[in-house]
Amino acid sequence: MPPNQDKTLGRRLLATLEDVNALIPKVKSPAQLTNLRESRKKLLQQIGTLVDTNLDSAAVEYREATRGLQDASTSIRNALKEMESVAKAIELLAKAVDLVAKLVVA
Amino acid sequence: MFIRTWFRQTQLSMLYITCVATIFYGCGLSVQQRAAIERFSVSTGEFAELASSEFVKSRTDVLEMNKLRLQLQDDTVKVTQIDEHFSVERVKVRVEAVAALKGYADLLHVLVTTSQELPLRNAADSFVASLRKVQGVSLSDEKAGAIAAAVQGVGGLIVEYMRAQAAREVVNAVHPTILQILELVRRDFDPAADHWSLGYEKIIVGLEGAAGLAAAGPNAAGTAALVGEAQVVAAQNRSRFRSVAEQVNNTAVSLREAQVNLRYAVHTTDVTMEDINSFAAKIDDFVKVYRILRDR
Repeated sequence: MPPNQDKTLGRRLLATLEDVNALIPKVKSPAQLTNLRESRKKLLQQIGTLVDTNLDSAAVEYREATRGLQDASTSIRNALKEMESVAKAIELLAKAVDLVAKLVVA
Repeated sequence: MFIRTWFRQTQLSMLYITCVATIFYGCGLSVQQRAAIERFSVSTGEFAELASSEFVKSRTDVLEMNKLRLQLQDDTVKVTQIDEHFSVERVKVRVEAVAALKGYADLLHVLVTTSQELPLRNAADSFVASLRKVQGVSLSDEKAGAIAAAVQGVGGLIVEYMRAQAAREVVNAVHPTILQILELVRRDFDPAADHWSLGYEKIIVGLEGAAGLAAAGPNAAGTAALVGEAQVVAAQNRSRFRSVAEQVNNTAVSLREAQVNLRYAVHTTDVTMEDINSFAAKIDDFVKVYRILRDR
């Protein structure tokens, strides 16, 4: 794990949330517990907003990448069809020869 | 007269095809290049399977942990958003991306391994059968076999050329996309980043907090069993996720190396002894066929 000052905002918020959790068993009064509840709630909301924003922006990148890969797969399918067309071209040549044979007989 | 002219043209065509095919052959895929594609395909399969199952598992874990938080009276969880950050749509877009990656790798593998031998042999046999029907053309079985083999050989070389060209073009074009998707998945599981892993760990820490609050609350005795269960689930999920994140990172690195190697491999022109022997054998065939046609 990187040192605290090198951590991202989300990681620092998460570390603070863990600190709040560590304080819960040590509270001496209901007022302190209420304060910790409030801090925990705010931290969870802040981390949540950050995660939602990042996951949604990444979703756009994922969709772009998926399209790129699907295009590549289409190119490969087309190439496979072209490879099959070599045998078909020879078959066509054979048919042309057949026609020539018929013409010569006629 | 017509037949003789036609046959002479066929001879010239065969020679032309031979020359073109000879040029083409130098551009076919080598054994090393096929091995690089094979390795890429295997690495992609491992990566896609791991990442895909983990995206789905993350959501299942989050649903389980948030149900426990609700049972512990955690008011920061909403019943209507129990899959918090890990909606079906967010999982789907990621699973589809790794599935597209696997689909691409599988097709690339098919591209380099698919055999056109049988269709080409059938086509070549059909060509020779037609040739034998032409009045004035008589071919012994030996000569007919040699012509069929040559036609099949030339067709095979053209196919190899097309295969190599397609592989080079596709691997080159898709290179930035492969690196992009690897980085996206790696970042999602990076334990130091603010993406998928942060959302998952937030739920774990949230569950631990909910258990702590229940244990410190007025109904501590009544929730003791649930608190214990929550602590165990949180610890197990944290341990499992860390291990998976490391595996995803390792497979992403491995796949990145495979992709870089593949991109390099399909552009190199290294020729092995095996390639040379195979090339020489094919040229031998063409020479034989050319003699058959010339001597007629």
